[in-house]
Amino acid sequence: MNTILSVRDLGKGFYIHDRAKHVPAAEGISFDLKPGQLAALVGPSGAGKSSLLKAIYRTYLPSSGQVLYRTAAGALVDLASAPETRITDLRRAEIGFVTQFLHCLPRLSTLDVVARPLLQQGVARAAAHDKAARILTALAIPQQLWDATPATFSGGERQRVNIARSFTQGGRLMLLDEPTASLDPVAGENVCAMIEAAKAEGTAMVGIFHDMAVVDRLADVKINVERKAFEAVA
Amino acid sequence: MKPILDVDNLTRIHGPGCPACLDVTGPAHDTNLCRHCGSVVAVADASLRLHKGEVLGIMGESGSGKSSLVKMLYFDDKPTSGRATFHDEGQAHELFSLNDAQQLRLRDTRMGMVYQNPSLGLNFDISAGGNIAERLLMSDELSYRVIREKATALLARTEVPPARMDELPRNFSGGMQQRVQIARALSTGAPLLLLDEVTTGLDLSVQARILDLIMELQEVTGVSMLVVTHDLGVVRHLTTRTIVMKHGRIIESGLTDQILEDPQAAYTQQLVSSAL
Ligand SMILES: Nc1ncnc2c1ncn2[C@@H]1O[C@H](COP(=O)(O)OP(=O)(O)O)[C@@H](O)[C@H]1O
Ligand SMILES: [Mg+2]
Ligand SMILES: [Zn+2]
Repeated sequence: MNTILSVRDLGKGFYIHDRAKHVPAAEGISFDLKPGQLAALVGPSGAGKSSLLKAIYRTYLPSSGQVLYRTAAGALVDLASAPETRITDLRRAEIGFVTQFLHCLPRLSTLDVVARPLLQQGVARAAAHDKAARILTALAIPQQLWDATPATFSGGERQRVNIARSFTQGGRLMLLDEPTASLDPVAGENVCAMIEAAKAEGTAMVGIFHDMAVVDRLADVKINVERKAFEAVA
Repeated sequence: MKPILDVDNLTRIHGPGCPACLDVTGPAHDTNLCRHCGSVVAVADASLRLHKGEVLGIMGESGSGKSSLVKMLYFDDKPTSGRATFHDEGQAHELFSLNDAQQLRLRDTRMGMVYQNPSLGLNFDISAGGNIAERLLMSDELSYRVIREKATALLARTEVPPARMDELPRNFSGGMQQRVQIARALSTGAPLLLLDEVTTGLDLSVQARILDLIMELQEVTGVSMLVVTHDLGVVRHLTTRTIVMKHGRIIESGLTDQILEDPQAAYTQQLVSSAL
């Protein structure tokens, strides 16, 4: 199968003007990913895993290297340097980012929050709600919560709503930053099953997981982040 | 993505102006005041592109030139130099080459503006419904019944209680006035909306609801928006791309999450870290 993502010699550092200081976060990261594969970024905290994930998504501007992404239409796009409007189009249609943190609109119901990205893509309301309901069920979010706003939920519930939203949107490439952190074992298991299902459907993923058992279960590729980053600091 | 608005090297100098104005002002000189002629360089060489359906933020401290920029685009003020092209209904309008009647026509029907100060965007001497009717009339909608229906629907959409339609907006709360302004701006189905500090000065909870409303309306209508604000929260909430201004200059632009999480310019780094 074709490569969907080829990360080549990716590096990220920050220049802090205030302190006239260059802070390296990660350097020389390379890997390839095919549809349905998951690459896990592993390394101690502070090694630059989240920075790399954000550099792939372009929340951080990469300092060096390339992030070559094959679009659904077959074009090869370097996410590190593509025009911003190209990135926003891809984020809407193909590339998702899952974090532990939910930023959501206070007035929307859970079902609407989860269905929203599909509605934004132009999917009909009924179909979007159907898919949202399926995912919410799979993540064991009780149906009596669906009409309420997640703004009032507990941290764990909100995290699951956020994950539900990302997986409802789906996409060809998903970036996961500790999606199972601080979930109870049952919810964590549900999320892992969801990731496996998305992989089976061909979604490629790059993820960070605090739990090595989860890495062993889900990852096709393991990328060690710590060594190069620490070399860069030294 | 297709462009709806192209701004090229737009400049606005208040005062006599002199050949040195642009050389001795800007972030590098930490001022927008020309020391030779005393002119204020409100906007200098600003260029940007807004795409159809896009929400672009213009961020910067007070006095950085954000309002001056959008005022020119809405014909509230004239540029000293520069161009802006509005792509609408298959035509490319050179905004500053149009005659007064053409400018008025675009302003009344194809662009909407929401000001921080509602008294600029609303006629306080006529009812809320009348404010919307006024704009609909300018777009040649002449049937009283249709105008009344449309005004009712628009106010409902911006959550102004229908019972208050015949009241004067001067008696409304700040949040309610902004809702009427938004309804008025949207009334003609204009594809371009300019929002200048629309939530500044409102209570936090009111701010949040207005931002939600703007976001919902944007999604439903697909209207393109320039969102001017000094408030990083507004930028985060509404926009996908952001431009940063200082002393009349655009100093940085990028995806909004990148501007907020990985700002490149020293000034933007300060702005973002001081807001944390
Ligand atoms: N009519 C005017 N005459 C003189 N100076 C003006 C006028 N309008 C704006 N300015 C100046 O232009 C600069 C930019 O102002 P403005 O566009 O209102 O900034 P912002 O909207 O970013 O707060 C400021 O220094 C302001 O004092
Ligand atoms: Mg202003
Ligand atoms: Zn001068």
